[in-house]
Amino acid sequence: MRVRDLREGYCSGRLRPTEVCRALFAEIARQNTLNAYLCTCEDSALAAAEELEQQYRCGKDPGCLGGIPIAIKDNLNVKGYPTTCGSKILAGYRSGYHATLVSKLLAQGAIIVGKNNLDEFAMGSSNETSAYGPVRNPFDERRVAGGSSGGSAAAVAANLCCAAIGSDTGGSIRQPAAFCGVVGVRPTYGRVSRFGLLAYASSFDQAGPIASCVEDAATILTVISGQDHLDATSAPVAVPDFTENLNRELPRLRIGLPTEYFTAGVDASIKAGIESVVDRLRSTGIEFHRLSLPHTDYALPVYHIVANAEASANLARYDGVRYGFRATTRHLAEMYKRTRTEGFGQEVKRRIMVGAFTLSSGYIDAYYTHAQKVRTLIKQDFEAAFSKVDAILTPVTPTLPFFIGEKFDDPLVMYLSDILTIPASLAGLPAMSLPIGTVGSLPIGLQIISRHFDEKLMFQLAATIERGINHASVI
Amino acid sequence: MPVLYEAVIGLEFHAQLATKTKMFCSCPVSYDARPNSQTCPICLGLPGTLPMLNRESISHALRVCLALNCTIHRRSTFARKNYFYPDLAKGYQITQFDLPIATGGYLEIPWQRGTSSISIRRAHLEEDTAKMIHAAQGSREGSKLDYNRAGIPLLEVVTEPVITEPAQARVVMQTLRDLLRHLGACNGNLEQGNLRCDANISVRPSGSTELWQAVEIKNLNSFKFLEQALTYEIHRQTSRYRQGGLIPREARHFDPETGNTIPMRIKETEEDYRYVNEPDLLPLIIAESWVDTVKTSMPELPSSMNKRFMQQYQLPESTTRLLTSSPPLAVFFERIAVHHDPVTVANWIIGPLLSLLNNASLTIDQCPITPEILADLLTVTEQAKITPNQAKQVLEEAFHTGDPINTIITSRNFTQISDPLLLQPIIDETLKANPFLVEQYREGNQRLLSYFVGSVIKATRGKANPYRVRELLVRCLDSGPGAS
Repeated sequence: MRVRDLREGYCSGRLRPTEVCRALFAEIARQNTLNAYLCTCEDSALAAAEELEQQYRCGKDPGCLGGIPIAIKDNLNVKGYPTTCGSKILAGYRSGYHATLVSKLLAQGAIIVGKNNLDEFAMGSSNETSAYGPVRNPFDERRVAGGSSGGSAAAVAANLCCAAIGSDTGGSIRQPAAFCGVVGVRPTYGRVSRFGLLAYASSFDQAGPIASCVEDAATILTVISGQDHLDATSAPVAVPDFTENLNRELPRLRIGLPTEYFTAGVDASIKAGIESVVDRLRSTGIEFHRLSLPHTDYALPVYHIVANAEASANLARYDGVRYGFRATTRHLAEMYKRTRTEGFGQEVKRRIMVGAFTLSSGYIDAYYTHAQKVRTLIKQDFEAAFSKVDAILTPVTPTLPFFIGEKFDDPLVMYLSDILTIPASLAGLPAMSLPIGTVGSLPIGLQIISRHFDEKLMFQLAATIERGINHASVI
Repeated sequence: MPVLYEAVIGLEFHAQLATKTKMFCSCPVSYDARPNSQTCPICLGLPGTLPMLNRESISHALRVCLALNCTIHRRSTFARKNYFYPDLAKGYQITQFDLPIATGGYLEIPWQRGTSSISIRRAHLEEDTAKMIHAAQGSREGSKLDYNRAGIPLLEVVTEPVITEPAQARVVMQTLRDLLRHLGACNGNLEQGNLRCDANISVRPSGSTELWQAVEIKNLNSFKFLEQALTYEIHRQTSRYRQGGLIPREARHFDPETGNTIPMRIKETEEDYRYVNEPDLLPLIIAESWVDTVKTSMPELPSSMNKRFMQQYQLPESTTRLLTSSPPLAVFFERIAVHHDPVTVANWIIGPLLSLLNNASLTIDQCPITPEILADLLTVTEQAKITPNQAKQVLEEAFHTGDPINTIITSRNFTQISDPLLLQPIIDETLKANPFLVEQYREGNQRLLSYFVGSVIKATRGKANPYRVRELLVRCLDSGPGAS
């Protein structure tokens, strides 16, 4: 399902939004083993579809996403619908307002079809920490879809929506996109308003599109980007049309290949797949430079200290006082303890406690403050790199999609899944995952990292690769 | 001889800024709305919300910091203060920690017929919590929360521990309240909770420079309670030390019923607020132009009023500093000084009037005597219709009853006898009755004159004009032996 095809169908009358929606909801029900959706918005979707059909019939343009079915990760507010964040602690909570990006999508005629399953509070790399069951990979249902936007990536891959909005803190859009063979974009920090996105780590979180092709991701990012007065951290930077250069020939680019990302820890088949893309690009005249991002090894610990510190505060509001689950007891302190003990899953509790510890008196300087300083060093690695190259190519994941349950018991092993995506998050850089083929029957992805606010070039490079890609198995 | 102890007091104020909307959202600030009717996803801390800074709150804060002579920090940051309590919607309060908006400064207060300069440590912005109404003991109802108050902008002002007496602490709170109202920065209505006060108090041997363990007394929201609580606490701490005991660190609150401070519920561990920079807000950058705009919109500040009074009314600085230390006091003075001799007006205000106010623990805003009434009294004394002593009594009665000046004068039958024809016979009699003292006076004991004046006044039951009496007495005494 592509935006272009649907729009053409709607404009010509060959397709009707109501039919597309109904078929979609039937398919979602049929593929419910994937567990990609936590709820569907059938009523409002069909009502919207009717309305849009009218507009198309009258020749009115309902917007560049008119009638396009889009799913929303369940950590974003859609008014009138539940937002569970994959957690029991928000059971029964219904959003009273739209996230800013949701309003923007609706303004362009998008149809919100449902809320996607996710790792609880976006904490996870496999969508196995969800209180509502894991998401299964459409390529192989015994395997994980990745996380934390596993539901969104799986839904797009299984054609259960045209595109989805996920969120990326340490790789939560890019990694599941790679595991599910779809396009996933993490915008520059500040590109997309965070108002309405349930915060995990405030200085890392960004919402972004997951789609079946680069053009759709670019179209959607153009719609959802822009400074928002409700988000003080959203950037006062103009939003270009990210689709403008997709079909233009690339300028003479220099692309960096950081040695730290192509180590023994990365699966050989993935490295081979990327080398194949690199060779093809090299033959078109693009220069490749091996470079070093020397502080890469510190990215994982820095992330886990800073992100969890921010999370420990961001998740303090889930206390049962005003909304969501509340443990029944007569005493306040016990209410707090039991609500949060019973309402949160293991991984969430783990990260909250680690985060609170690193902020605590006597430890904050050694952990949090120090980690923030090292974060600056990691940012500077990228600054130095981008003075020599225009884009950086890396693998997205060190492994192919693993089996459900395979890594779940050892959190530290699980954390390593994010090792290639975290550095870009620390630096606030835009990065995307592009599917470049399969190994056996499992998809692999390529990561493109660009300069701040240079998504246009990032998309252009991605589109070029996409065009030249040969989806045959890569061994 | 028991050791004498002195008190060391520091005060922490929270002033609700008089903005139209809350600190981080556009909910209106309202004090009498239906509970939970002035709320939105942001001030309720609903999932996914972010704070957006209210510029008006910064302008008000700047106004106050300028008036307190603080150093304004062009760059300040917001922080999260983390703790769990139902009145704190997000589980953290957005406040300022490392880099507050202002540090340093001072507040000049009227004190002991002069002024006293109270050093300010810092001022910073933060959001107010919700209001929690606890269920009665043993009731089956739970505590109730009203989030109308959650998110109202607060300016926290902290003094250095330089206050030495409970009465002085009260004056600090009163003066600050007056200043905040004068600036339009805060409504200053204590019943509404517009200005709240926590006090930190310790005692130490008189003259010592060590700082002993301070106790925090929270939520002192009336001038009277502040003074009472501190008085009790000084007594409690002093007694404990005298008995050889120690004062542990703790938070207490004041019980108006008993007049005692009692410990707050003991917490198992000391609160670690895990302060961290607020990642959802950018650092606050205050441009020079913003400060300039605020400066132009400020009312006349005590310091400029002071200079002007010196020039305009030809009053000594010690007097003007006192008068202008409280803007409403300065306004009160000016209303009368346009029609009467400024020196006289100043003396009446600084002396008898402030004394009456102080004894009643009232501020000039609450003064039962209006500038017009005091002016009436001055007119009457200028016309020499009543004696200075009688005037003081009239003032006191007017203060307590609110009756007009002339009514009091009539009912008390106050008049002043200035006519020499009426006074001379009494003077003659007095001198005739004390020939020995008259001789002593003529031999050089000039101080006896006061005795004669006093006698004549007594003989007239207080109605004799003391100046005229003195005049006539001197003429008599100096003119020759035997008087008349």
